[in-house]
Amino acid sequence: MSDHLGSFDLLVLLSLLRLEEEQAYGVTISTEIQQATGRAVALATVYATLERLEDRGLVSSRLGESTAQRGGRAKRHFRVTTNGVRQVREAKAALLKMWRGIRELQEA
Amino acid sequence: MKPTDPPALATALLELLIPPRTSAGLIGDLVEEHKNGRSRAWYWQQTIMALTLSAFREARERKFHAITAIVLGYLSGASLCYFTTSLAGRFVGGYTAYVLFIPLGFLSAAVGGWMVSRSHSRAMVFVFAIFCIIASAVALAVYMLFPIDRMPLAMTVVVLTLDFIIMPAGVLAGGLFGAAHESHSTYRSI
Repeated sequence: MSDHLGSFDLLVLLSLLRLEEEQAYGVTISTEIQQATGRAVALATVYATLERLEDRGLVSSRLGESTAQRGGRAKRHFRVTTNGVRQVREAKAALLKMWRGIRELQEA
Repeated sequence: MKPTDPPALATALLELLIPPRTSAGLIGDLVEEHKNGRSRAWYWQQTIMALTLSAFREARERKFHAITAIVLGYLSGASLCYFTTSLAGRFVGGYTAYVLFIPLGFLSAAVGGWMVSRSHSRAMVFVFAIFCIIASAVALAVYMLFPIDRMPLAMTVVVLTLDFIIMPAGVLAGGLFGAAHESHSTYRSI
């Protein structure tokens, strides 16, 4: 299976790394991405990406406690695995290498 | 005053048609956001996106099952629809037959949806419903480009209503019934 991280995959992983595990669930991840990109993100899209990342071993999840606020349903908390952190580091290194030296992206 | 409960039908569709792995967290998130001020329209929009994403992911990962689900649902639903509406047209006739086409079409589509939900994964029901809409759109386009004969206006209205509203609704209803019967789940009031 390809180790390539898509741009949205990377956004989700970075959001997870920015959030504490107890706070990292669908709503907060979606909000974090929206604040960074300025675009609304559907919760279903976030969950589809999280499941794909979990299948690849880059993310793990656990069910939290159910609450009345959520209609008696539990939150699913997510965290980045060691393998996921490694993949993010590799993606960062690759992107920085590509960005370096591009005149249009250099600040005035 | 805005209702405090999210749309019951939307939640039931999510509980019965998307995998438990996804629904476990997703539905709770949607309910939480709804209680925090999101509208019912937003809830429905998120529901449709979740159903669509789940269906296409299922179809992409299990292409053969998607094809067999569509073939099985279409053969069972379409043949039953053809048989029953032909009988209605023959023995009833006239505009009364057109009126009968609607419940007969709904029931035939429900049988197709039920067959799909009992023989395949639940997400395939939505795949089949989407296929029905696409197939109807293609048939309509072909008819408009190459009209064989001029349909009466009443018949045209019935056919359009059947193809784009009644039959997809029937597929979902039959699929929900099959999925609910299988899991013995009942809708939880929120």
